[in-house]
Amino acid sequence: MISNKPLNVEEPKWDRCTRNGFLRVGNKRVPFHTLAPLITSYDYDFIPYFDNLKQHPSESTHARMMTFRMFELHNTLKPLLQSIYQTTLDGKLAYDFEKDVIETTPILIDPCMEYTWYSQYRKILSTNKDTPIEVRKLAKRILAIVTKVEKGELTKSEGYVKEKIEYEKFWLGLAKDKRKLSDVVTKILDLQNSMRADIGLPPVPAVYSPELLEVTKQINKIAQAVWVGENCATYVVLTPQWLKSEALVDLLIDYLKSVDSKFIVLKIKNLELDKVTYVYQRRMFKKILEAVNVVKQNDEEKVFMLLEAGYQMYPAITGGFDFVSTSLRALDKDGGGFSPDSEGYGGFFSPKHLVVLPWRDVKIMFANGGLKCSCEICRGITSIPSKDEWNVLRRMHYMLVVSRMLEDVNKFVLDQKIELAIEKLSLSELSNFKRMLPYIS
Amino acid sequence: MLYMVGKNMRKNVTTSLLTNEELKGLRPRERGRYVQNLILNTLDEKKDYALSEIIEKTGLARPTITKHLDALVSTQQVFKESRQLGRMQIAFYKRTGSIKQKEEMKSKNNESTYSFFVLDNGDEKSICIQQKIEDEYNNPTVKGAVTINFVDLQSFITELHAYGARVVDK
Repeated sequence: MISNKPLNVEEPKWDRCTRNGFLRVGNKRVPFHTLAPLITSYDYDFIPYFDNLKQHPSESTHARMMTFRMFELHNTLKPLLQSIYQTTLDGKLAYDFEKDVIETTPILIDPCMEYTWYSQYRKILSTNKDTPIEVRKLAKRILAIVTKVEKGELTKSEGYVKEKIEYEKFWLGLAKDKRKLSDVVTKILDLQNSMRADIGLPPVPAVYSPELLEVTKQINKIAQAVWVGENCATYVVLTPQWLKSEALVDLLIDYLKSVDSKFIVLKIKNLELDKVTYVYQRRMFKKILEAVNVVKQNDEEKVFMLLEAGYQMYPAITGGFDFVSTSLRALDKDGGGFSPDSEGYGGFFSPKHLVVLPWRDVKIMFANGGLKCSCEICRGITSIPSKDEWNVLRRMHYMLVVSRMLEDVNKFVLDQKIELAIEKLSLSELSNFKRMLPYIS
Repeated sequence: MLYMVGKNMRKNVTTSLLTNEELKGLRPRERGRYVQNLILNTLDEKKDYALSEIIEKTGLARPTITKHLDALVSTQQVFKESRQLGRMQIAFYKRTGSIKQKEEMKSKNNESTYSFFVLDNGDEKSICIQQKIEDEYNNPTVKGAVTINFVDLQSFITELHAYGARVVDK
C-alpha cells in the first residue's frame, strides 16, 4: 500500500475567519497556523532549519512542517534519509536529532509539474531522473521551442503559441489516456511515499483555463484512488491570471466545495497581491478565503494549505488557510536573484513591515546600530557577517519570526481577538491586505 | 466486464469512484490498491459482512473481492471468521479495530521490524504483530501479521515458549 496514515483535526476552536487546533497525520501532530518552509538546498535551508529546531525549539513550534520540491530531493531529503540511521563508532545514532525531526514533522513533496509551463526550472525538470519520462520529454520538447526562439528561427509570439500548444496537447491528452495518466500519477506518488511524505501531492499542471482545471480534477481523482488512505491531498496549481476572472474563481470554488479529500492544497504561482493596482485580484483572493472558511465550517475535518504564499502568507493564514509554505528567503516568485548592488547578500525579512528589505537598507540598519529585530538570531549579530553566514542567518531569522507571528495568531484566536491581525497588517507595508480577511474587514 | 464499479455502491463509501475506463487504465498493482481501499471503506469494525454483501456493496466481481480480501486478511487489516449456518460454512468479514497502543522492535540482524499494536474493536481487544521490511530509505512494507486475542495471549505465549524450546535449541 502506498500510505495509510489517518488524518484528523483535533481540538478545533474558531474565531471568525480562522481556527486553532491540531492536525494529526499518522503519529505526527502539528498545530494549525504553521509554516512549512520550502527546503531547496542542504546547506542554505536544511542546516539552518535543523539548527533552529535544535537551538530554539520553543520559538520554532509553528514551523514544524517541511516542504520539498521533487526535483531537488537528491540535494535535500534523499541524503538525509540515507544517513539518519548511520551510527558513530560507539554505536550511537549519528543523526539522532535529525531522525527525531523526520519522525515527528509532517513532510510534503511538491511534484512541481507547473515547470512544464514556467521556464524557471524546466531544464532541471527535463533531466531529473525522479521526473516521469513522459514529463521529461514534454519539458525537452518545450525547451527545443525556446532554443528556436533564442536562435531567431521563431519569433517570440510564435514560440509562445507553440509552447502553449505543446503544453496543452500533453496535459489534455494525458487526461484522455488513462494508462499513461495512471503511470505518471503512480510514479510520482510512489516516490513521495518512499521519501516518507505524509501528505501525497498529485502531479497537477499549472491551470489557466477551465479545460486544464478538468485535467487537474482527473489527476486528483486518480491520485485519491491510488493512494490508499486519507492523506492524499487535492492539489490545484493556478496561474496568477486566474484571479483576474470572477467566473474562473467561481469554478475553482465549486471544485473546492465538491472534493472528497480532507487535505486541500492550493498554489497560486507568482502571486503579488501587494501591488497597489491589484485591487480586483485581492477581492478575488478574499473570495477564495471566504470559500475556504465555508468549506471548513461545514466540515471540521477539512484542512487547507497554501504553497508558495510569499507576502500573502500572513493574510492567508489569518484568513482561512491552516498551513502556509514559503521559502526561507520569504520570496516565492520565480526568477529574481541578487540585484547588482546586493554584493551577494540576500534581503532581510522585517517582522514589522512584513516585507523583505534589500541589502542596501540592511547596511544602513547596521550603520545605525544594528538590526531592528529582537529575535534570538538578530540579537547575536553585532556586525556585518560574511556573505555565506548572512545568507544562513537571515533564513534562520525568517523562520523564527514567522513561527512567532503564527503563534501570536494562535493566541489571537484563543482570546477571540483575531482583529489584532488586521492591526498588524495595517501597521505593516502590506496594509492593503487588511481588507482581504473574511468576516472581519 | 470485470469491474462493475459504481453500481450498487453504498452511500457512505468515501473513496472517489473511478469509472470503468479509469479503472482499466490503472496498472494491476494500483488497481489492487484501489480495490483494497474500496473494500476497507465498505467494511465496518462492529458489523460482520458476508462475501455476497461485500460484492453487492462494492459492485465488484467475486474473484476480485476474494483475492483482495485474502490479502487484507493475511496482513490483519480484516478479520475473517467462518460460521456454520445449517449445512453451509459461511465466511464473515469485518475491519480490525482501531489501534490503541503501538510499539516497535527491531530484530537483531536489523532486517525486520516488528510492530506491536493493541487493536480494539469495542467488544474485544487483541495484540497484532506486524513484520515489516525496510527499503534503502527505511521505508517500511508490511510482509505479514498475526493477531492474538487478549483472552488467548497466555496460552499463546506458553505454546510459543514450548515450541521455541523444542525447535530453536536443536
